[in-house]
Amino acid sequence: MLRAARLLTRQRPRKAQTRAQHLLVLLRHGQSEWNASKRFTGWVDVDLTEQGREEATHAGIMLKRHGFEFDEAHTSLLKRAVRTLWSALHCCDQHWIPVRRSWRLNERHYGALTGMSKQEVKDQMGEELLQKFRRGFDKKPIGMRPDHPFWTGRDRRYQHLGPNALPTGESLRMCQERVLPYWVDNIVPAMRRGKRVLVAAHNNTLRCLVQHMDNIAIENIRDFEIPTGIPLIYRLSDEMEPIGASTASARSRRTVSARPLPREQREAASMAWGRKNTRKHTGKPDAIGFKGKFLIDAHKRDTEYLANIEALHTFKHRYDRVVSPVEGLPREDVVRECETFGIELPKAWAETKKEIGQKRREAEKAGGIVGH
Amino acid sequence: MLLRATQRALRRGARQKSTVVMMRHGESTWNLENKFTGWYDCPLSEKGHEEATEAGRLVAAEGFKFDVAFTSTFKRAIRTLDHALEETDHMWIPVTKAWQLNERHYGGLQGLDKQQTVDKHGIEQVTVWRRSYDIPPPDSDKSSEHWPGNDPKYAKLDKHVMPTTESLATTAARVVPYWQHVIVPELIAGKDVLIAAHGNSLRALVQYLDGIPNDEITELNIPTATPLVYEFDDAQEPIPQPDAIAPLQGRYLGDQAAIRARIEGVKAQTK
Repeated sequence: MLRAARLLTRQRPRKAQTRAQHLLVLLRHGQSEWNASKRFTGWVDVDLTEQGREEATHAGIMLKRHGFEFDEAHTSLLKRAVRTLWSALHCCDQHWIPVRRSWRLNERHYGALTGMSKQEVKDQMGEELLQKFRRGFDKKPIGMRPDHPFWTGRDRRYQHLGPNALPTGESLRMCQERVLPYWVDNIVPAMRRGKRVLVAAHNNTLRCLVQHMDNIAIENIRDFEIPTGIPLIYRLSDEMEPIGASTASARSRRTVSARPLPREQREAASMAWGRKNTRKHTGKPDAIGFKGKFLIDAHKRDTEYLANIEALHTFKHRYDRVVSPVEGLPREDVVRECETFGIELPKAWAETKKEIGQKRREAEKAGGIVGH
Repeated sequence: MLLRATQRALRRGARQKSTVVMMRHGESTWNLENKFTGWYDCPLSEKGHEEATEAGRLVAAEGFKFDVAFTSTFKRAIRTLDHALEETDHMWIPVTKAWQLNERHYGGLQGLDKQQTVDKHGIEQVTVWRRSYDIPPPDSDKSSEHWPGNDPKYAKLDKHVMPTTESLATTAARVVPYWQHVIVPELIAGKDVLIAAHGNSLRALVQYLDGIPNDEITELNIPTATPLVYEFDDAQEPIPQPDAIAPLQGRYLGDQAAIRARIEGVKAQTK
């Protein structure tokens, strides 16, 4: 009986080792009212502009189109991030997931510079000092005093912080020091429990997280900006290290074989896979060791984004509130409305591959035309 | 001595009463199509969005300050809450989406047209299903999309809890314990609460708060997207409000005459 048990539990040939992959999607909020007028915003609770709302809806559409699903969302206490999250979640039908809001994901506090435009700061303090505040990792702006017009001490949402924890101006390092405890205490345990997490936050907050995950040097993170409204995908290992295209993903797609492929063939397969999917990477940030993947199809981005923007203008009440444009709306309606308003059919609604294939076959039969 | 104790308590910042504002979600697309909705996740109609924004403005005009919000897992209630939070400038408060506050499940009738169902089963039977306290509509099929056990939203919950059909009694059996175990501790902690839920879940809650008998609660109609304000004393008992419309102890916000008309009008809709 023992022998039978041992037979049943014998070591089977190992499957391709799949490292546990945890999904994390970061989303920077779109254009806010003060972005447009180029003022330092910080903790002031301005809302999104029309363009910002469209960017948020577009982000949701992209997430839905690529089939992303989430179990938890985290955001800051500021309206612009919360609204971005709402739009994105409603567009990809995940409105029901739990959302946690925390002051630790708030934008970096710009201290006394809050509310001043960049031109004003340049005039009053000089270009060099302005660049140091914006980009210096350790440079703290002048502290905000209680008589500042945008003093945050009176705001009810920060009352639980008490007078000592409330920032009056933060350097990027200070911002990181308050973001990382939230990362460690809330986001990482959620991912380890198998939850797929969406974080909708601000430029500096996300830069701190990206720097922590990708181990980017301080000199390089200074100039790194996260584009607004484009989901940034990270797949993390158990140690919270980002998994690149050429490593575990290729490994996980490998079929089970009795004998592993020779090393050169494995490497060639990884490189081919990496090349095939390179269009999802933005080229430049790799130089500094950035490992996230932006959710855009780089060569299609301009036309699709513009087509979506136009469609968003016309069908705004639908896209913002109901479903994504790809599924759920009957195509005849969209085609009819495009014809009525005289705009081009958005690429997302273009003919299915089947129809394109059929048309091509008919064309070949008719006139011997081959190829695209 | 009692006066001084109260003064000391007030200096310490002790609350004397806490506020709960609850509202039913605005008109949904299936309301327009006159279908039984139940646990189906249909969105708000255009008018529903406007109603929700208007409700938010009414709440903002009263100057309430909230600390926490609760809603169900359906987008019509979540969207109503979003509008309310936006208008009252409370987009930063923690929001809990609880399935216990979901609408009553309409069983096998979910997705069916109301008029067709009346034609098929007769007005008396449909009235019994809609308005009786503890007689539920027929079960929904466990293989259909209408059984919540097949919905990925509730995948993490015990499937035995997922209803195949519900009456107002069974709805109350999940709403009232949620109120007692989750929402009341927030009130005790001195927080003000905003709730956006559904007709039947609010009926169950209001029956518990105001002690309304079973036959009256089935006739009671709560108008859509109209904020209903309850204030609670230290013992979490509702304080009767001056403008309350019987048998409720809470007051509605907005044009009182129009609200009364709507309450009476919805009663006529059951035909």
